[in-house]
Amino acid sequence: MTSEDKLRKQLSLFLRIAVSISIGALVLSYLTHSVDLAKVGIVLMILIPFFRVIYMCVFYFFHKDRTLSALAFAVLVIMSLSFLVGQIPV
Amino acid sequence: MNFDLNSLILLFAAIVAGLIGSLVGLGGGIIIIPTLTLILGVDIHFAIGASLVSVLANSAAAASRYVKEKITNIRLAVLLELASASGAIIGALIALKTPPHFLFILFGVMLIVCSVLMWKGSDPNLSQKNEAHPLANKLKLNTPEYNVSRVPQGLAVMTLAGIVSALMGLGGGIFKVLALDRLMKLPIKASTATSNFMLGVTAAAGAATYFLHGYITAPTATPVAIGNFVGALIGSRLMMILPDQVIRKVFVVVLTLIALQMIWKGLSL
Repeated sequence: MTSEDKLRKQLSLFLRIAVSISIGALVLSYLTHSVDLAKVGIVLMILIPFFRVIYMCVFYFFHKDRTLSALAFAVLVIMSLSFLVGQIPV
Repeated sequence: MNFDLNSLILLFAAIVAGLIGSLVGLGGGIIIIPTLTLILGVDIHFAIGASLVSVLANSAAAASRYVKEKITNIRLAVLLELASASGAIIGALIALKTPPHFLFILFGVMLIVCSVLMWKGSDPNLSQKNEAHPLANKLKLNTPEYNVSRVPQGLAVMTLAGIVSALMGLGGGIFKVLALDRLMKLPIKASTATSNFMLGVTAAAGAATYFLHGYITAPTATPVAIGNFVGALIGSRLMMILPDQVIRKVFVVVLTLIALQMIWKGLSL
């Protein structure tokens, strides 16, 4: 199994788990009318892309692919920057 | 939150948005925003907030399958995310100084031309014959199935996609798929899956901003996220079995609808 295959397997599993927890919280909130639980689900959903990029950055770093790791880190910096300037992409 | 009619309408609209979005690599804002504003009378800020949540749900749900099935080009996505996220910042900075109605009409007409070009030029095997760009070789962006061409041009259009989505609130996914398919010569399925993977990154910062400003609320965001998740699961399964030509045609229809929506918005501003 190549490092790319490992990344795909791990990333897919990570996305499945993260989105399942987030959607699970939202479904529970929908059924129980709990606004707090809905907020937890939404915050988790927002954090998934941030964690995904961090995961890729670390993965490529430890698999000696420093260029891709640096690119992922740069994406993370720009994401944080765009959050700081409060811009609104869709 | 109740199981009222509004909530069910929103849930249904989100399922449709998730299905189409995951199939053709878009966020689903084209369906969610009009449903919330025109049918349910929700304020535009809350509608955009819900639309951002729909992009996140769609991207996460569909990406898990596309990544596993090796359809998403992860390495290319990382490179292009850099350009589109930078473009989003540029767009946000120039948004206040640009007349929006002119942009809506300009990009609307541009997308109509693109849809005609996509309808006509549809050789699904064209990508296999392309020569790889040197940067694609260096960053190992090519796959056994296809080579990645015109990387600098692709980066330029991704920056434009970021600017467009920040300026106009929609169209980011469309430009991403167009650049991947027409410029960089990826097969249509790889284009839509890679665009889908990238969309979450572009939407995350905006969603965080909207959430902190109180524009993402449980009654609108919850059915949108759940519906989109379900739609994306169905759409990502459908994408695996549908032929390239069908996906391309669905994309052209959605592209034309978005173009008309942009022109209409430009004329009504």
